[in-house]
This record gives sequence, C-alpha cells and structure tokens, in this order.
Amino acid sequence: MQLKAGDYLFMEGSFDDHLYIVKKGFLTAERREHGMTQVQWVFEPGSLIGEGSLLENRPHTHAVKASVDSELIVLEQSELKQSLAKSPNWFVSIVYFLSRRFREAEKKHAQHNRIRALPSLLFILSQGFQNKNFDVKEMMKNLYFLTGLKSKEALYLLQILESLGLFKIFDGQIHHPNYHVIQMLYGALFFRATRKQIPATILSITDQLILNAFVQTTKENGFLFKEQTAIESATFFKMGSKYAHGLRLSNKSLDDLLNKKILTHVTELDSDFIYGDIDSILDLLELNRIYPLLDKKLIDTP
Amino acid sequence: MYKVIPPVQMCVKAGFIVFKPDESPKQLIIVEEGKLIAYEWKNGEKSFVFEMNPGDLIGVAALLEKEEIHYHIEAAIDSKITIIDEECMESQLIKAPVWLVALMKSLSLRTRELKKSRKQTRSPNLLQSMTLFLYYKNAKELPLFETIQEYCFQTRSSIKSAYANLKYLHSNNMICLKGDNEETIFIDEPMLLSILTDCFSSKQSQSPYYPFHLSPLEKECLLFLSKYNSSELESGAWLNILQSQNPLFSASEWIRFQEHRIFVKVSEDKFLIHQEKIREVLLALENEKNIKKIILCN
Repeated sequence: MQLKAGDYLFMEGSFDDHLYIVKKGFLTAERREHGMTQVQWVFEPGSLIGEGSLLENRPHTHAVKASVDSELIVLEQSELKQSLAKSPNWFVSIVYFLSRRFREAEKKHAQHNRIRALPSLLFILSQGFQNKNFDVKEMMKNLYFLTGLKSKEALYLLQILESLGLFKIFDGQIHHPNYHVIQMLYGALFFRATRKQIPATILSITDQLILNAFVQTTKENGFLFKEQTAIESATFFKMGSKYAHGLRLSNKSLDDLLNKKILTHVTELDSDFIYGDIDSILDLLELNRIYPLLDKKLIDTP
Repeated sequence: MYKVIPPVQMCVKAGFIVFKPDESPKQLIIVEEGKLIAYEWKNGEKSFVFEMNPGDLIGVAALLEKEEIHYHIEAAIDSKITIIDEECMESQLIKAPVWLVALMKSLSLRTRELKKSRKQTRSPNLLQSMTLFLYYKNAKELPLFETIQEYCFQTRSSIKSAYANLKYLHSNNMICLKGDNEETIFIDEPMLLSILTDCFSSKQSQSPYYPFHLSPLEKECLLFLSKYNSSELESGAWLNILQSQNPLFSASEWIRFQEHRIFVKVSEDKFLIHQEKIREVLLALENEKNIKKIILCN
C-alpha cells in the first residue's frame, strides 16, 4: 500500500480490522486538541499500526497520517485468525493477554491523567471565575495547556464535579459554582499531597454529626452573636442529640471543633453558649460530603 | 523444520510454591484450573499482592522483555497450570510469522511506554503552562518556593524545570524575581501573562494573534478610543466619531473592531467601548518585540 505525504491512513474513531507494517517512510499518530494537532507517536520503518483494532475490533484512538511518501504492508484480520488457529492455545492466550493488557494500560493512563489534573481544574475553577473564564471550552483549553489533559478526559472531570453538585453545566457554560467549597477542596487535596496528612477541613463523622446538629438546632433556638450564629450550650446539648443520631453531646465532644476554631465556646459569668459561622459550617459539611465520594467517582468513571 | 518445544503442564497441591524470585528460571505461568496467589515478603511478613484465576497469566514481561517477576507465586488451592520457559517460547516465536512476533513486541513495548509516561508531566509546553498558572494565581506578589511547590503538585513538572521557566520569564520581563535569594515573584502586569498564553495558543493553532496584525489606522483609532470617555452609541455614531479622527476609517474596520470585541453590543444597535480589551491590545503592542521573541524561542 502506497501513501503520499499528507495522506491519511485512517481517522480517529474509525473502525478498521487491518494491521499495517511500515515498510518505507514515516507516519504520525495525531489527535486534534483545541484546534491544534498533537503528534502522539511517530511510526518508522518496522513499526506496527492498528494492533488494538485488529485484535479487539476497537475504533482507532488516533488519526494516522503519512509525513512523507510511505509504503505499508497490509495484513487482514483473517491472516491473524489463520495464524492463531495454527498456534497452540497457550500462545493464543499470550497474544490476547498482551492486547488486553495494552487496553487496560490505556484505560489506566487516562484515569491517572484525570486524577492528576483534578487539582488544576479546581484551581482554574476557583481562580478563573474571578477573571474571565466561564466557558467550558475555554476552561478545557486552559486545563490542557496547564496539565496536558485531553478534552475528553477534561469533560469527564467536569461531569464528575457537576454530579457532586459543585456547579451546573448548560449552554456550554458553568453556572452557580460553589467557589468556597471548590477552593476548600483544592486546598484539601494540595495539603494531602504535600504534607501526607489528613487536612484539618476533613472532619470525623462525629464532628460532622455535631456540626449538623448545630445547624439544625440553631434554626429554632439560635441567636446572633458577633454576626455569627449562637446557641445556649444547655439547649444545644439537650436538643442537638436528636439531630446527631443519638450521639451524646457534651463539652468534651466539642473539643476537636473548638480546637479547629470551627466553633467557639463562651463561658462568662451568667452566659454559656456556643457560636460559629453558619455559612462556613455549611460549606465545610458540603466539602465533607463530597471529599469521600470524589476518589470513588474518579476511579469508577470509565 | 523447527519443532515447538511443548510447555510443561502441572497439577499442584494447595500451598505449592510455583515461582520464587531469584531462584526459579524465567518463565510464564498460565492458570488452567484452580487459583494462584502472588505475594511478597515485607519486613519478614508475607504480603498478599494479587490472585490469579483460570485464564490469567504472569511472566509475559519476563519472557518477552527480560524483566524479572518480583513476586512469589503459590497455589491457593489445588490447581492445574501451564509453564512456558524461554526455550519453549522461542521455539514458538520462531515458528510464528514475523509480523505476529512484531505485533506482540509492539503491544508489550507500548504498554511499557504508557506505564512509564505516568510519571512524566503531560503539559504540552511547560513555559506556557507556568505562564498560565501564574496568571491564574491572580496576585501581584507570590512566595517563590511555595509557588513552585504548588505548580509542581499540579503539573508533576520538576522543581528544576519550574524554576528555569520562572527565571526565563524574569529575564524576558514578564515577571520579576526579587529578594536576597530571589525568594519573591512580583507580577506587575498579570494581563501580560494572559497575553503571552494567548500568543502561545495562536501559535499552536496557527491562527494570527489579532493585536500583532493591526493596521496603522486601526492602531491609531485604538489609541484614540483608549482615551475616549463614552456612553452607549449607535454604530453610525461610532463610525462618525472614528471617521472624524481618521477619514479613512471604514465599515470594514468597524466590523473587525466588533469581531475582536473592541466594542460590545449592549442593546439592539447600541455599542460600548470595551476599555479592558483595548488596554490588553495596547499592552500586547507595547511588549510585542519581547513576546514575539519568547514565542519564537519556545
């Protein structure tokens, strides 16, 4: 088979059950990303093209184009089948194992890239809104320039974050982003990666139950203190338990939240109350809802 | 005529050690029936790694890529296995068509390349990536070490390369590294970083960067507009104003100004000057020589 320089052997996404061996010339595997053509591989004489499609009838993941005039040897899938039919079973197992392993490696590679690019996406989302980027395409383009994440994977990431309720996507735009939670999530991931510790914003189940009880009880029994929301300690301990799934609330159970300055306990002469910023607490609870789900979603997405 | 050396088939009892690293020869093991487990010794303790069920195999890399199997393999229950050693594999590879052997090696090599590339940064252009990162940081002053640390966390770029790119941006007047040990990054004009990333994008998509393709007439009009205090006006009124500045200003320049968002449409036929956009264009022109040099070299 002869190809002139610039001729395409096949396009990305097309089906083709041939295996090509480069006899002469050079070809490139290309992918279009944000209006740019990215060369992924260069095939030189002796290289094989189309292994995945031949063995597993998968669509081509890249377009392949001749860089110079080239000559290829074309092998039909039937030739592969004939050869394998003559081979012992164990040999056939190895061939298909190699193909499967390659596909798995491609899948893991994409998954790995997504996980790696997540902090950058959160970073752009949290910073970008204050600048100019509300547009999904623009966001994906910048994510690509920053981390190299391809648009297909970037879209998966955006959909994961949308499914977690961090924003809504419609008409190609990102709407109603929860900036504060996005920033906290980015901060938590950065802290986890650099310090190898659990970030202070990630709370134990007990602390989350207490905060939830605080939010619920202050709705009926709260009062304002220093522009924050407060509740009498005795009322909170008495009423809060029903919202904390039976957890017995006491001064001691608040220790962790007091140390982290999420709640403040005031005990003066005749007053004994607890206060905190309800908006920050709600964001913190939202972060703690999302955080454990995120890893699972990142791994589960195909 | 080559003769294929047949593989060894074995029935093993639970607990039988099928493979020991450093002791067993290079081989490929296929589970036909039963179950095998792979484990390693860590601090004197047996640590489970994975299990193998019928159809699974281990040791392809050992035979095709001369890599070692690092795990101990043991039968978890009574099992039937096939063992292929180097001689057996080679006798089959000699018999197989050359293209089939090449196919197997290619699959193996590309799998290894994919695994290897996980540790590498994927940013298509690290200087562009750093520029974009600094732009998004949206700060006039940044601590050097923490900034590099955060950038490397996001991009998996090396500290050395991140620092080299900061130095490069500094030497080309995009940012300024100050302090006794250059421990602070100063960004006088964050918009310049945005302009530089736009220029990189234009280069990669082979599309012209608008500010560098303005005619002298358009430049003159932009300078005029940058000092013009205006309210919303109709297109005809704007055309008159710009023609009074330079009679050569025509409808085609007006359309180009709209396309490049020098004017924004605010109602049916009312337009407003986009002063921020004009500032961006003029800033790009002011730094044209410098920006073009960076783009050309990267």
